[in-house]
Amino acid sequence: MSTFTPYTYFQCPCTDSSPPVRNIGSDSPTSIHSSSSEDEKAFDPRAPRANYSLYPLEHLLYCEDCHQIRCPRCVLDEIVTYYCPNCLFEVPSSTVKSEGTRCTRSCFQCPICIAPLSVSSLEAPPEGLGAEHASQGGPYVLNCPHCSWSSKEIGIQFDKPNGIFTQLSKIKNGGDPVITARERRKDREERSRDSAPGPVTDEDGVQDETVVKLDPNEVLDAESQFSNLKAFYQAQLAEASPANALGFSGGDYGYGSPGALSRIMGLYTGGTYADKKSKAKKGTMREAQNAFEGLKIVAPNSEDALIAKLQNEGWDATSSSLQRDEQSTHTPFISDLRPIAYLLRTKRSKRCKTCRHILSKPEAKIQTTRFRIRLVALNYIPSISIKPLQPLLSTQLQAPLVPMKPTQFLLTFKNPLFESVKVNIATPAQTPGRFASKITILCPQFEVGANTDAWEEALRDGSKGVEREKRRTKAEASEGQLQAEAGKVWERGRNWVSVVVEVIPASLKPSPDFLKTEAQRKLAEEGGEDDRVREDEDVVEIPVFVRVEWEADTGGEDGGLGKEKEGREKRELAYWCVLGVGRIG
Amino acid sequence: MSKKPVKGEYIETDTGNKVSRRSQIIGTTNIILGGKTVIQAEVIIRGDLLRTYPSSSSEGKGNPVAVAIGRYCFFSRGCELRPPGKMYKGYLLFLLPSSSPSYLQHELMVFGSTFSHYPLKIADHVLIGPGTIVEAALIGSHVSIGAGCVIGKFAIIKDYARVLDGTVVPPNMVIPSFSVVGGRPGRVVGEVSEGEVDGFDLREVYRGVGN
Amino acid sequence: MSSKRASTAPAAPKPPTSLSPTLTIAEHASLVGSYLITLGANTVVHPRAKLNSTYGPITVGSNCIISERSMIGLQGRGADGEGVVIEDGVIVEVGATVESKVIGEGCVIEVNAKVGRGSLLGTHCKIGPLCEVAEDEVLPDYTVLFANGMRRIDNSGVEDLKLKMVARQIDVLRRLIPSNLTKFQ
Repeated sequence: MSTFTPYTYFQCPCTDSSPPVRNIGSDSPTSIHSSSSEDEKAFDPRAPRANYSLYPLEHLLYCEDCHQIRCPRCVLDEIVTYYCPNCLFEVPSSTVKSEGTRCTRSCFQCPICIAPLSVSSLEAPPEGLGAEHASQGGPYVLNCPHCSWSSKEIGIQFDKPNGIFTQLSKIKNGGDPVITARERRKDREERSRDSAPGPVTDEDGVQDETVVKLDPNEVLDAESQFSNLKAFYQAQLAEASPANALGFSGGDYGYGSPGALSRIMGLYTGGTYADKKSKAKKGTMREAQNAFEGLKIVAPNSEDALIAKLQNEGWDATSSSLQRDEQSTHTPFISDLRPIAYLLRTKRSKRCKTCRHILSKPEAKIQTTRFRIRLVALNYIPSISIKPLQPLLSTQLQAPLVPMKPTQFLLTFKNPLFESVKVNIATPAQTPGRFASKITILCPQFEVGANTDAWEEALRDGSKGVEREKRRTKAEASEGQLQAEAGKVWERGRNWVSVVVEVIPASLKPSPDFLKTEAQRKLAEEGGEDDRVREDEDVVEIPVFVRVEWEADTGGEDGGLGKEKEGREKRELAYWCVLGVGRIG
Repeated sequence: MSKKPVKGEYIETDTGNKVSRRSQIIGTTNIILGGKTVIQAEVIIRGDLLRTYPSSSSEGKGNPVAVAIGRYCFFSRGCELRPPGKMYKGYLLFLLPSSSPSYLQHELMVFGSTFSHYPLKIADHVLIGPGTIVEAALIGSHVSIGAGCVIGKFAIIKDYARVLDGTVVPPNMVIPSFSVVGGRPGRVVGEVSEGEVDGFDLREVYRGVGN
Repeated sequence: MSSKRASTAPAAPKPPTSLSPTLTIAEHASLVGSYLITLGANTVVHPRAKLNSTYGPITVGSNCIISERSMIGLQGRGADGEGVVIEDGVIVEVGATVESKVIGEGCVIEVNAKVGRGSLLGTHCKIGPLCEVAEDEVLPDYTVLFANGMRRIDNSGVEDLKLKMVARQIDVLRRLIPSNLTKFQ
């Protein structure tokens, strides 16, 4: 018996086949044109695509200009601020461009278990009298308080307890220093100066002059190989296409030049894009020839060491795929893993994809949690909550539904608008899917009163008012209607209305063949006559089409006198919802 | 939800705190309750685990504080609030105000590196689920922590964060605002959307609790 | 075998104890059962910790910390003479359940972890929060259980440091927790 809480999901209309387009000039909102066709085909919450369009009401936004619900798929995100989720420092976007999207302070995650790492001293804390004078010195390590991993295990220690990112970037696993990009560049320049007249042919001639001596056949790590390759091809491109000289030369984005582009296109399309000019130039390009230029020759026995290590140390020494996913290079062994610098997080504002108006905009500062603009659907469309009608059952909400036994649920619509709304709800007679439960809405049409200002409500009589209101309606309910009446609202409050929906849960046993509908028979054939209950198939999900109508002030100023009808506008919103009412036992 | 309160289950304080008679609050003088906070049965609050390392500010007057709780917090049945503790190495004299009494300095000389608990601070509208054990340093406002979680030592949970049921938040983890955290060890698995923000208000929940 | 049923009786039997004079035990700790409970020197027992010797003796070494809500001792009938031994310098965190045969020196049993009966933990093991050690399982020295039961061997080599830190923590707890040794003797 898994627990079950009733839920309501709303379908964002953007998943309709037609993209949301604002109908300029007409008073009627967009959804009206499609509603006629939709009346016939009920929304199927079990359709594979439905998963991508259903959201809890809280996740939806509302565009005041399009008068339409907006879901994460039909909004545009814009980054307001980058920050590190660990140290909560803001990172300027210029730094993000130059340094990448990771925290460059001392924020790291454990490569084994992703818990945050903390810096600690390896030295035993000083003890005894006068110990406080001996300042705690290095070496320092990163260690994980969750799984006890320590950077000592990969042979990395630090001299200082701060600026770990910079320190780490200079140390390889095992403790050897990393040759920095600058040293490489210097070396490269030296080399190219020496061998300027032609392609590099003789490496030995360079050695007496270089500042940092590098082995031309050294085994490069991925990063330096990449930087070498990049430098080499940039140089090649600069030589090959004079167009670069116009503005892109030397920059990091040399690939973007027209010459380079056409060359790349030419490579991939078999030369159709390459014009005569670049074809002529092709001859001058060559490939990397040694390690300085990023050439890496894979030796036939290069994997022997890995295999030997695998044989010696076994399964436990290998990294899991999850651990490898977090690393930037290939790390087959635990000993290859490096601490993971925290990925930056963003604060984002959201725009409507259709009209580009801002729907949500947080304050830029990291420490504040306020929003400048926040148009959430919760404040525009009625929320729907579900509970069983029988008060006895309210304590055992999770009791499964009994097949074929009519069960009544209360749907409570709560209106967030300051205008009263007319609500129409409709469902198919049976839930879609293999196990069709029968559904009847006893009162498909009703009006929900206007919401009042939160202040007004609070001023009126504080917290007591809510309770009193509730009690009154409860009393009414227990006096008169014990049986839900068709066409009548069950309960009504200031800005909410409860109506009854009756569900006759389907039996989970497959129905005899002669009782099957055509659709079911077809389904069964497709499903390979599988009569077992698949995952969550026992959940009764009711698709409900909701149409809300209300009168709203048009733009505010032009409707100066509220009495006049010109200042009012009829609004209509229609959408599908899915109500998950319970599991069939 | 389905508690059957015995008559007089809760003691209501002057500031409107509703404290279950069956809660186990130790070191009450070191605990600050901001008011309108609900403490259910079998909740343990360790006010006795005081800070032994002398604070540079707030010396002298008043009771030392081990656990500070804001308004409209809700501590579900069987959860525990426990001030975190850690080793403190070095720096001790450095942080000590020169005005502090000499006997204290003497003690510091002896405990050159020592262990101390630190106050656990909880802001307003914080919900802590049943059976959850909290050893955080700071929990911001409008934070919702599920059932059966373990919040590691010195974790910092910022405003409007949600911790899913059964999460193990590792020690020292910082959870930024609007994060949804789950898993073992906990990681950010999602964001709290704009519309969910209002749902963190616990005033209604507070009103629903009574004898 | 004593005929005491599970701890339903409100007045639980007071077990025979052998308590070190340097033990710190809170008044609201609970020692129940009928077998001998031995608590070593400098050990701290938090309030609301439960040591139950109904089904076998409990031996806790020196410099241990037994936190609140932890349950030490067999929770059900076992083989004759089976007991729970916790060696020196062990921290049992909040809500942990320890039924194991031996917990080695310097182990840490984290919050709400479970160590099943008959298990043998080597020295300096760490059982992470909510992790479980199965019955009769044998963990080698320095084993770390974390996440959803993942395990690794910790070779950071800072055990001595950790033992010192436990001792420091005990120094502080002794000052904070009023001990009531006589109640349990």
